[in-house]
Amino acid sequence: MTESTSDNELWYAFRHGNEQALAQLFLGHYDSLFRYGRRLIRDEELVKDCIQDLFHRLWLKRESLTDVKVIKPYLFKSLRHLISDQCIKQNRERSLRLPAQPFFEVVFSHEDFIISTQLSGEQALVISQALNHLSTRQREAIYLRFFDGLEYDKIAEVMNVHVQSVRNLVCQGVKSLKDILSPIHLSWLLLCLNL
Amino acid sequence: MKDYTGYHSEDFVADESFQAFVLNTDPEAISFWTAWLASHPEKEPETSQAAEIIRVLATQTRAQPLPVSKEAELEKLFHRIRLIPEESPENSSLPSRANVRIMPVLGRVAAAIALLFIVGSVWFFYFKSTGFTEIRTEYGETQQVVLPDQSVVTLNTNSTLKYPKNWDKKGQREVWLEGEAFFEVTKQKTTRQSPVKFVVHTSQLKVEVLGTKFDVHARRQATRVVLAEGKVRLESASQGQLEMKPGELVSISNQRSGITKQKVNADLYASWRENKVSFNEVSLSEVAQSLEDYFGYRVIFTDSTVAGRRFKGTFPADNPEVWVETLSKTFPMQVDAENKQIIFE
Repeated sequence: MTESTSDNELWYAFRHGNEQALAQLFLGHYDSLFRYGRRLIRDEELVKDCIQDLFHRLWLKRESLTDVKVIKPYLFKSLRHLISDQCIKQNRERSLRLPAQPFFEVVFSHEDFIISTQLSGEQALVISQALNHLSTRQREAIYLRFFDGLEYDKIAEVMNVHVQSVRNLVCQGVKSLKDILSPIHLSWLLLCLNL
Repeated sequence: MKDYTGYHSEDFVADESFQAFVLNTDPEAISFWTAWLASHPEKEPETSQAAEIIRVLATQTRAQPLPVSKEAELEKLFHRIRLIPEESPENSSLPSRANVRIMPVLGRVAAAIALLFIVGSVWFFYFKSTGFTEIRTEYGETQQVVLPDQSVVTLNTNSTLKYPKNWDKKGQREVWLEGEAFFEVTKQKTTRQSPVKFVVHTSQLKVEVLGTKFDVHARRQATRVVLAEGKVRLESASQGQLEMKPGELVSISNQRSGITKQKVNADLYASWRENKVSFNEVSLSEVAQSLEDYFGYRVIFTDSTVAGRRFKGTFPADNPEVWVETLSKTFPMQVDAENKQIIFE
């Protein structure tokens, strides 16, 4: 978690037109932005375009950008906006017969868990399926907290809700998770972890 | 303090301080919850279930490669910036096919040359000119740096200090720190006789001084400043501004948006400069963090009550073996020297 230390400095250089800072920001955040974008929407090309747009826009208005303490949530939030705008635009342009492009569909895959040492493929599948039964907002909050390591105040910023709502989303999400996973499943999973 | 007695396991999972305790990221949370759990044994089923759920959620992996080449994407971005800087992103669209077809031969050659130029400059900017002078110490190494204004910075182990290459041309003195350093800042005046500020940036805050001696410790999720002499002003996004007097310690952490200020013996916090590291009744998890930060060890606690136990002592700053040997006399632990791993049991 040392990334934020250089954030200040990078952002400063970026705002003063340093192209190397742009390259560093881009390469440093690309993976997590792409993964987050892919969870919001399935269309990989659209995610790639939106990330391009995001950095292009930032570069064009770099001189009017304000101080940002931690960059990651700011980038996440901007990408979320861009993707949402694109979805609305695309759905408007599509013929009415085609199904609307679903968005904000934060989906967990069993691969998210499988390589970790203690979970088998089957267990990973069980837990990812259970997570996918939660509401999209609960899933997104849990994803941002535990996968991207954002703190509640940052998640609130990204999702544009109050900090308390984020806490409630996580809490309700975990409660439904407990209900979905039968007690047997849950204790079996927990037992496996308790090595 | 919050009343946790009515909490169910999902409430514990959602509590940030409880998460920090389970994931071992905040010593304060660790000592708090260790004590709380000991005095509330009846909540054991709920809390242990909550801890396991947090662990399941946090054991995800990022190992799969991306289906995209981000280097190619970066090139695409630079291409867009260089060739069409005036393009407004609202109307951005790919050139229509008709335009491409009527592009004259000369234009294509020019475009090819431009593309070569872009690839070259991306290469140049990416690998060469940084705009910053960077000084880095390895594990177990300290280094003294004299800045262009004759201020002296002693850099502790595993730390990085950066400052702009065009330092002299600007009216401000600014450095960026990751890790720990002791600053002895010279007083400087502009030609108009107004004092020139010296600013240390860390991830949490900005330390502003005119001329003074102080220690800044910016590792993990927290920044700690100890003032030996003079006066400094701190500025953080979450906590606003604060002035410090000599002998004061201020610590700001991300984990809880709190700030603490206390009177301390400032020499103790600069003892690493005499090749000593002193711990005064701190939790074992804090000692473990220093082992990780200073020497690159990996420390694991299988029992969180052990992490909360207190320790007092002084170690040499350049010899991790002495640390390990001393700790192993008091605490049961397994040492894997080859992989630099320690497990407290």
